[in-house]
Parts: sequence; C-alpha cells; structure tokens
Amino acid sequence: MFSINESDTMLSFRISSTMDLVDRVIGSMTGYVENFDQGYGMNGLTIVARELLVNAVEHGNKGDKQLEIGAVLERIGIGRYRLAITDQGEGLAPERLSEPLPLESTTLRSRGLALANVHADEIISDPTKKTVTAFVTLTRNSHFSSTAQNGVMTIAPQGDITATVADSFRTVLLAWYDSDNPELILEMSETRDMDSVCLSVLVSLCNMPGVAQGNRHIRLTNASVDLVNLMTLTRLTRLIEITSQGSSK
Amino acid sequence: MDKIRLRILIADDESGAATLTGAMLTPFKAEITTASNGREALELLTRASETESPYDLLITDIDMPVMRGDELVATLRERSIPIPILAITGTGDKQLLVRLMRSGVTEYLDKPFSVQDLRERVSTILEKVQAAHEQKQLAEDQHWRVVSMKHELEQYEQHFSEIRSQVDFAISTYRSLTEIRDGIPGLQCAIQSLPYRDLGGDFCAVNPMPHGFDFLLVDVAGHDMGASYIAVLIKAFFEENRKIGKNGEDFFLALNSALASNGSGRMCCAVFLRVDNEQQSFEVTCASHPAPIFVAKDFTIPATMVETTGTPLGFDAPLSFDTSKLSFSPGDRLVLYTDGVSTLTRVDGMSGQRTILGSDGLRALIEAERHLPLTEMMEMTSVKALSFARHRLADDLMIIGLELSGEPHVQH
Repeated sequence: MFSINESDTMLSFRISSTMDLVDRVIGSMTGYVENFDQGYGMNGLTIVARELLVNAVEHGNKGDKQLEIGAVLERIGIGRYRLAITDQGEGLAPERLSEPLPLESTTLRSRGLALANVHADEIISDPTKKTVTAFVTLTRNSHFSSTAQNGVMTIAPQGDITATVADSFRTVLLAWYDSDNPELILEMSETRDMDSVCLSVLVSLCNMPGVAQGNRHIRLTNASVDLVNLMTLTRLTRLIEITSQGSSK
Repeated sequence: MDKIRLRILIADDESGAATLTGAMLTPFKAEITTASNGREALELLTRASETESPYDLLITDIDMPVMRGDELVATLRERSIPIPILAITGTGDKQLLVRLMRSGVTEYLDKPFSVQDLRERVSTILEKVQAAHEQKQLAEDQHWRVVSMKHELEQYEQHFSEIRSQVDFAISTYRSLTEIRDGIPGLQCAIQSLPYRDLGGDFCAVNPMPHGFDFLLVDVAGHDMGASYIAVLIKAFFEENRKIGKNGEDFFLALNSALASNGSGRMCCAVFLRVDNEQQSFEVTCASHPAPIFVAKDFTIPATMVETTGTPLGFDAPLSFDTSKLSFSPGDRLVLYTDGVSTLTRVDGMSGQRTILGSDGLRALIEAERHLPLTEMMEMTSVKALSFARHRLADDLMIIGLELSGEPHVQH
C-alpha cells in the first residue's frame, strides 16, 4: 500500500512496511523539498528520513508487511522541515535517541538512529503515540557570486564558508587579487559560519604583497555578530575592516 | 573511420571477360585479382584466408574447366572460408540457382549483364562488407581501450593502495600525538578526545621541566594530512623546547617563524601552560585559543576562566600574546580545551534557534562535576558536553584536565 497526499505545507504518506516503499517515500520527499528550497543540500534530510523509516519497518513494525507506517513532512521555515514517522509497534524508547555513533568501525550494533541524530537538529520520540518527530535544517550549498564596479569587487558567498568550499573561496579571492580592483568587499549577509581553514585562506590573502602594505583594501560587510566575534578573537580585525554589521543568524 | 581498400577475386576461364569485369569495378577502387578456374581461385582464397587480408568478395563464373564455380562455392563452404560470393550464371538453370543460393552464394547475375547491374550488385555486397570491417575495427578499438583502461585502473589501484597505506600511517601517527606515555611527576592528566575525522590537527604534549612541566595544546586548522603534518612539526618543535626552555611567548614567536617559513598558511590556535611546582604557580599564554578554566580544590571558589588573548599562529603577520600568571594550591585543576568543545551547538528543533555551549557553558558543566576525581570529572564533562550538542560535532573535540600536585621533582 502506498498512499500520498500533498497540501500547501505538508506531504503525508501511508505505506506498508516494506523497504522498497521507503525508497519511494524518500524519492517523493526529495521532489517536494526541491520545489521550495533550491540551492540546499538534502543529504541530511534524506538520511534522517531513511533511518527513521527503516527503523519503523524493521524495529517498529518488525517487518510485518500487514502493518502500516505513516510519514508526514512539513515545511516549517526556509530550509527547515519537521518529519513525523508513526508506526504500529511499541514506540521508540526516547533514550535510544541519545546513543552516540560508535567510534570503532568494527562495532556491530545499529548505527541508524545515531546517524539520524547526527543529521537532525532534534529528534523526539513519543512512545504513547508511537511517533518519532525529527527537525532538520537543510545545509545551504555554498557558492560565490562576484561583481566589480568602480574599482571595487564585491564577493557575496551564498552559504557557509567551510573547508568543503575552501578551494572555491581561494579561487574567487585570487581572482580579485589578480584583477585591477583596489578594493574587495566580502558581503556576508548570507553566511553564518566561516571555519578556521577558510579563515586561513583569508589571512593568506591579507599577507600577500600589496594587501599587507595597505595598497589594496579588504572590507567585510553585513557579517553576523558571531562572525565579527570570530574575526575579533582571531585578531583579523587588524587586517580586515568590518562595516555594517549584520544580525546574529 | 578510414575506408579499407577491399580485395575482390574474379574467377573466370575467359581472361578477357575477367579483365572486362575488373575494369567495370574500377570505381570501387578495390584490389582486383583474377583466377582462370575454380581450383586456382580456391588456392588463392585459402591462402588469403590464413592471412590478415583475406578477400572481401568472390565473383565467379559457373562454367569453368578444372573446377566449376558451383564446386568452388561448395568447397569454400566445406572449408568454412567465409566470403561473400557473386555468381555469374548464364544457363538459366533454376535448379543450379537454388543450389547456389543454398550453398551460400550472396547474389547472382545472369549473363549478359550491364555495367550498372554489376555495380549495383557489387555495391550492395561491398557496403555490407565495409560496414562489417568497420564494426570489427570498432570492436578491436574498444577491446584495446578496455585493455588500456584496465591497465590504467590497475596502476590507479596500486597508487591508491600506496596512498592508502601512507594515509593509514599518517592516521596512526596522528592518533599517537595525543598519547602522553611517560608519567610526569607532579602531574595527573585526563584527556578526552573525539576526532571529527581520522586526520586532524588537534594534539597535546607535555614536557617535564626543571621546576615542573610545560603543557601545549594546539588546534591546527583542517582535518587532512596537511593539518596532521603541521601538528607533527609543532610537536617536534615543542619537544625541542624541552632543552631550550623558552617561555610561552618566546616559544610561540619562534614557532610562528618556523610555520611561516614552512609556507603552510595554516592557522594554528594554541595554549602554552608552564607549571612551576616549586613556586606553585603557572603561566598561561594563548595564541587565539579558548581560555583555560581554573578549578580550585576549594569548592567555595567558583571555577574561573584564565583569560588571555593572543594572535593565531601560522601567518607572516604581527604577533602579540598576553601571559597570565597565577598561583595554585596542591589539588587545584586546570581544564584546557579546543574550540571544538566551546563551539558545540544545540539546535532547538521547532524554532531552529542555535545555542552555543561556549566557554561559560563548559565552565558550568565542570562546576557540576568538580567534586569527582579528575578522570571521572573529565568523562562526565565530556559526556554532558556531547549530550548538549546531541552528539553533533563540527570539529575535533579535545578536553584535558590537569591536577596540579605542586610536588617538586628531580628531573633525570
């Protein structure tokens, strides 16, 4: 049995307890989310959904194909979703959700719930309703757009600047360095985090000839409070001017 | 794909007719050979079939001395010599035609025939032959591509295997960085470490010193072999400092020169702790590192941050470090931790609100567990910190508890 119902704010399913239908649910959820949140990575959401559904099939309904599973995916904000999975088993003990991932790769015990836990903001189990509810924030796929005008190049990162995009970040910064634009503005309104690898990239740029001597200038605009604190803590404020601070995201 | 020059054998006892037929086929630019009877044709075809350039078409008359055309066709089939055959017939013998077609003759042409008739028949056959040649060539090319790719794949597998063993070695080397093997008199130490990746740049090390010990905790940016390489380099540099005895500030200045000249461009945050058991005092120097937490043995004194500031290491940039010097009593503890601990984040599911543990949050966790022996205090603090973030890591976690005995020792 596979029944699907879509409304403006949610997508709900009723399925028999079989693994192939889990795949269909995940596929439908992916298509649904793409309608709203393009430019976001869905890996975390699909891992959470799959692990909770598989848990409902294997452990909740104990593989009994006659029993049903309900799944509701609700969009609760930009890039944010609530996922509720209901089965007909005995309900999931809440303490099972706090089990960490085993550190040793040889450990045999189940990783599913721990894996879901790692990718969800929060997972709550209500054994009386036999429902597990997960909240997931999608990760933004980071990319960099740049424009140049009147000697100023503006680079606007879309998403967080972490080690995974360090090479792209370095490339756009070097594009400014190789250009004739004396000034660089990093427009940070769409960035929440910058990790130490990318901070290293930024500092390397600050130490390059011409920049270190002050002939070329770097400004950070609309950076969140957290980012400004990070720049202050690492004393990068001595190398980079911070203007028009944004709100904490 | 280049066209292959095709080979045609014409078997006819009338040499004039054979030559004329050959002339009619000039537009095909094929290599034409003639044979004066079936046996001669059979010998030529048999020999050529054993080479890499067999004939592509046999045009054969039927009435020939020594060996007739139909005998030739039948013998070719018996010997399994595959070749398209165009039979030139002149008798109107329908039974012969049926026999020829059953023997595998591809096409036939009644005498007399026009140039156009001959060319049409030959063209039809040669197009198929040409296509078959091209198909064969393609299959051979693909075969060699597969062979070549398989060879390349084997080389990649070998390289991968070599790189994998290097990475495994790097991982085991990195893991050993956080092992403090030799006991340091006057120091009890409990380390809680949870790596974010197999490779990384968090590590700690301790040096016994004449009046106590030096302790270094470093967080190198990144989770790759580069980070681990820098970590190894810093550890070697720190071990060297055991002989030189530079204090925190001088050590960081010297280390930064080494890192900058190394050209890594990796940011490193670090904290250098020097404990003097004789004076019962300690100095903390930070390079953009979270402030250590001082936990007095006296429970009435709240756990406090040892606030110091300093620039990160790893860049050719102006440096400055502050050093805090404090006294301690035997049994007091210090907790050092990387920012992977203080930046542990809890997200509220419904609102999406993010709460960062922070150094204050960590201090509160320690405060609640400070009554426990050092190892248990660190274990419980680590468990609670991870639980706060629902086991979601964004960086390596390293948190170290040190219990200061204040007992002087004699260095060997």
